Amino acid sequence: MTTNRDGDGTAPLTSNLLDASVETSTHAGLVLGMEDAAATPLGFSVFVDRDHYLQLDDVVHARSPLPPGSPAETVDFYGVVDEVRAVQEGVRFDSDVALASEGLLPAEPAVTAHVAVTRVEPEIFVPPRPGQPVSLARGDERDRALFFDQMAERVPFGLSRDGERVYANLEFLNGTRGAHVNISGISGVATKTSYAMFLLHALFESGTLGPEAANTRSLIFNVKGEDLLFLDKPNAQLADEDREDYARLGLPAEPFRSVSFYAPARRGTPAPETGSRMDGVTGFYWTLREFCAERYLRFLFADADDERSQLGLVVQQVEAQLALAARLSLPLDAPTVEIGGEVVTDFDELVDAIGLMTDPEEGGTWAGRAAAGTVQAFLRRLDAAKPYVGHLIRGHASEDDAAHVIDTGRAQVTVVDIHRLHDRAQRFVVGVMLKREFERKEASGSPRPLMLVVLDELNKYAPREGRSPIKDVLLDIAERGRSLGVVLVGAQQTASEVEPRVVANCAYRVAGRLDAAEAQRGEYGFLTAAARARASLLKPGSMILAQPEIPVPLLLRFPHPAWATRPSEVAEDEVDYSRYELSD
Amino acid sequence: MPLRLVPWSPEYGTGIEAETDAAADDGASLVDATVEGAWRAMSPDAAPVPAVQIVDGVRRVEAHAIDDSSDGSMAFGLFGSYAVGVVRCEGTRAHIPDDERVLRVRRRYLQAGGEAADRAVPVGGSVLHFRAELPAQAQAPADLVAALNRLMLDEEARLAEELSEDASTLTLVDGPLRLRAPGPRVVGYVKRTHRWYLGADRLALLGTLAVGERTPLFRIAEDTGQRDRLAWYLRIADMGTQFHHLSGVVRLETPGALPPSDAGALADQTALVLPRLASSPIRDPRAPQNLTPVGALEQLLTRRLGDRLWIRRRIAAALEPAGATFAVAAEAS
Repeated sequence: MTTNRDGDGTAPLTSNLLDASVETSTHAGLVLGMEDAAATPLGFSVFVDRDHYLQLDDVVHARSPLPPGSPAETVDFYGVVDEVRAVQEGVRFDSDVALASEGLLPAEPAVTAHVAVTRVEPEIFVPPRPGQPVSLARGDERDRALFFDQMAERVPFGLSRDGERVYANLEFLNGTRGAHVNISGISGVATKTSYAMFLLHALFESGTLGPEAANTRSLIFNVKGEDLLFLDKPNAQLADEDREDYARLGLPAEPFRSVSFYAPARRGTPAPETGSRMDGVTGFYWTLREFCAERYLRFLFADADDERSQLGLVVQQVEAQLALAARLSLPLDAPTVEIGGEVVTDFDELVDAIGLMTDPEEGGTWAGRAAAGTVQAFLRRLDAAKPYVGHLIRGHASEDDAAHVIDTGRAQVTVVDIHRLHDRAQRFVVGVMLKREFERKEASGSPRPLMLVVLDELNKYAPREGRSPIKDVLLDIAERGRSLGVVLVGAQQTASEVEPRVVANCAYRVAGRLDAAEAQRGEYGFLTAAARARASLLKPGSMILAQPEIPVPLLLRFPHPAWATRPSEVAEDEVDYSRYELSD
Repeated sequence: MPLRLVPWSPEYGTGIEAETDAAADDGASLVDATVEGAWRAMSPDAAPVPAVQIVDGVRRVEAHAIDDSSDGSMAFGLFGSYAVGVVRCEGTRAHIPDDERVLRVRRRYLQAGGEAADRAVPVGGSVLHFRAELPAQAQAPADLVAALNRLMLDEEARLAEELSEDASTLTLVDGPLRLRAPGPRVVGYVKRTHRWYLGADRLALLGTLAVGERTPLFRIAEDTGQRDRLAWYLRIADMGTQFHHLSGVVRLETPGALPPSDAGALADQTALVLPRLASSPIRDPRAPQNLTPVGALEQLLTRRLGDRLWIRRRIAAALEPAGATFAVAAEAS
């Protein structure tokens, strides 16, 4: 038995794991029917056998007979344990527990579990009959309970607590029936990004995408630290348990095979501004011509302050003038543009030129009839951007300016490091990249291969209140990306601070550890009461996943990254550079 | 004389129902109180608390009935259930063996005269079998209730006889000892005192007993159908000064055939084990005499008898002529 019984193209399970899955069911208890624990079609309690136990997240199955002459002889109930409780039977007073422990009062523990029903088959919504046996669902029964049997193409999204695969339906990720993933969780445990990267790894390596995997692309912004700058290096500190988990998941415990890294070009040189990682990183910047022609100016006005001001119209008018100037500047392949008869060769000059052309006091006309105060505000802010983004927008900077354009087509994973940039420059880079990739996919006319965009701090880029050019792009991705093959894997600490339309369009909602107060907010309505309570005590590596086809959220875990997340984890001697497409 | 309360909840009576007239003989003439020498308070030497198993039962009248026979005479009938079981206290574990050989639930249909037939009462997926019995000399419903009680006591005695073969544990039986073939370590536990068997001079010692102290053994000669027994009083609880000083005292009995030294050893063991098991008035209306584990056993046995109202309805349904049930069913369909 070396072939995978799932038939989903994932790597074969190791033999001992397969043996475990051959066992089909284990008796666990009996359906309970008490006044305060009545069985219903959507949930019921189980009296757990004294010789067995049920724990949270266990998947169970119960079969209940129907009266003769019904459309079916029996109804199968599948569900997930969402509460377990123990009482001491035979005690009446709180102090009785002491009597029982001293051997003076006979009292037996009774354990009950509550099951949230996930599936009723056939769909005859009667309560399961009290007294019917309840068993742990294994193998096919478990697949039915969690609808895995109905997923034609499935991607492992993690392991359940009992070490079984938890799948997600590719159709809800690739746009066929839905798209987008949203991850919430407090920061500091690095779980959100780790999980997003795990999902990419699973998508690329599970085989579910088939040959398309090679052409599937992803764009990731490295926002904090250097976590994502070693995605192509094996994690030397990966524990054996993690390797086993990867094996269980049918995924290789290996780093990403195809990654290109970009970091902002250092001032005055095209070389990248890097930290610990020296090799294989390309410095990026944009040419003045691209900046003008592609109307990137708006992304310099994406600060929280700008969002509330009236600058939008001025920005639009100036953008139009810059685009016109770019079209008229010759030669067309020059990185520079000509404004008012002068060749502009760097960002400072561009800002000065825009000032001359816009400020009515200088005779500028670009701002049209905008109030003088607004124009002054626009120019002040533009001027203030110079020290932060000036080095990212250049005239002629190297022999091969095109090589310094971020090209997401070069590798499966494109990492853009922005963690050393000022907030204003970060917003500019993110805005420009999102706009570019979205427009590129829009122009290509084909939703395949997929483009996955991983973006942390959604609350910053698509806040609940106000408008901004980046939020506009993100809303576009959230609402139209599904049909264009652009998948947003967004993350934030608090979903309540993110534009609801962005979150609402996500087919998959994931919650890591949540602040207890945050977990009570309406944005986490996908969590059951029990899941909310647990969300405040999740450990790193554990997530609660809500997916469209399964009516209850599932707790899952995922292994530590098989790739290094800091220099100390890089196993230099194990690196086979021939495996990687190095970008420099 | 100060006025003090009797701790039992009034619906259970007083627990002390012996004649209070000091002049009454009260059985003292049957008693030899010199078995263990001088009449004094005795307390056992420190020793490990022995394991104990306590046999007890519950009974319940499910329904009274009247059977009209063809000759026009009437006979009272009674549907009754009873259950007997055992609770074992050993070290730090108290448990009730849940096995039909030790936890026995019985259903009987008793009738005062005439001809009685077994009654099968369908309940849900199973059937309750009320086995017919014709108790001798029973006429009034109260006689049938007494007969049901006797059946329960007989069953208790049988179970105690079987269980007391195990000499490794002390066996406690509810009420005066009425076992025909008791094991070596059987003690009857009398929580409701009908006779003191002691004269006022000796009885005074009971008021001075501390918890865990007992009187010396006294032999009760054969009387009213009971064989002779060795008995002792033991204080199992101090109920406080607001309660009468005899209210924390129980009488214990063991077969008179036992050598007094063995009986004395058993008495010492009860003095070690019973004060621990005495119940608190908070949890038992017959505290302290109704021992904590026994209260729990009774609770469980009562639960095993089934829901009273429900069984009563099933009995009524079973007595309904079959035709009537069909008629209703036909109407519904």
